[in-house]
Amino acid sequence: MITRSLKGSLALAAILLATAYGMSLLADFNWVGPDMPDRVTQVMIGLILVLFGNATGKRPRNADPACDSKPGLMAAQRFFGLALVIGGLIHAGAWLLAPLEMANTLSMVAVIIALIAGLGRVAYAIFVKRQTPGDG
Amino acid sequence: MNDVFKALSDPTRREVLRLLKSGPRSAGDLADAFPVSRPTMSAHFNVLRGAGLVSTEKAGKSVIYHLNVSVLEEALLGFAGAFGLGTGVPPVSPPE
Repeated sequence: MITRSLKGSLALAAILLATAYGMSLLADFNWVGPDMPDRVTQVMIGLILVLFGNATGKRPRNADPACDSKPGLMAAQRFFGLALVIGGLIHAGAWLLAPLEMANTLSMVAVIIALIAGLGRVAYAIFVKRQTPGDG
Repeated sequence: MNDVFKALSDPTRREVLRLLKSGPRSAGDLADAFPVSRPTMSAHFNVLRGAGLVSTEKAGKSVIYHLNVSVLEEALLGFAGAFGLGTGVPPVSPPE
């Protein structure tokens, strides 16, 4: 599973780099606007964030569910995934639609808030779990 | 993805997933929460397992069900529930 996800991640990184380079070339030839390479790359980053966030709460089919039989932590993991998906969608949407100077700030703020909210929820779940060690 | 839509189209299966949100439960516990026969519930569990929405763990004689949904599947679950999808369909027939 690790090998498969590593290969997938490397493939995504390669696609991202190739797209950025390709868009830069197109911009050099004036075939696309000067802000298009930034926009396309950032929209892709947002969508990759959505992709990873979506899969965060899901275990592989062959994984042993006994290893994560902590409902609080699983709920926190699902919330973290949801936060990443929302952050990624806002990131992609901002770079797709907003003016360039606003897109930069808006997308960063959205992703940072998503990370803080998600990690905060996970930290809270771990804290609660430590307070009640006998539970689930 | 087709399996996921099929699994989420039934209100009983959606209710099972909602119950599992609060934590893992045994097949017996889940079956007791619904006014349907055990074979019917077993068929529902098979559909959910086939769609990858739940994972199972053997604990002695009982089977423990764990929720295993992605963000998209959870959103679909919410949408299907909000629009009352499949409330008029007949229940799943028990396995042969």
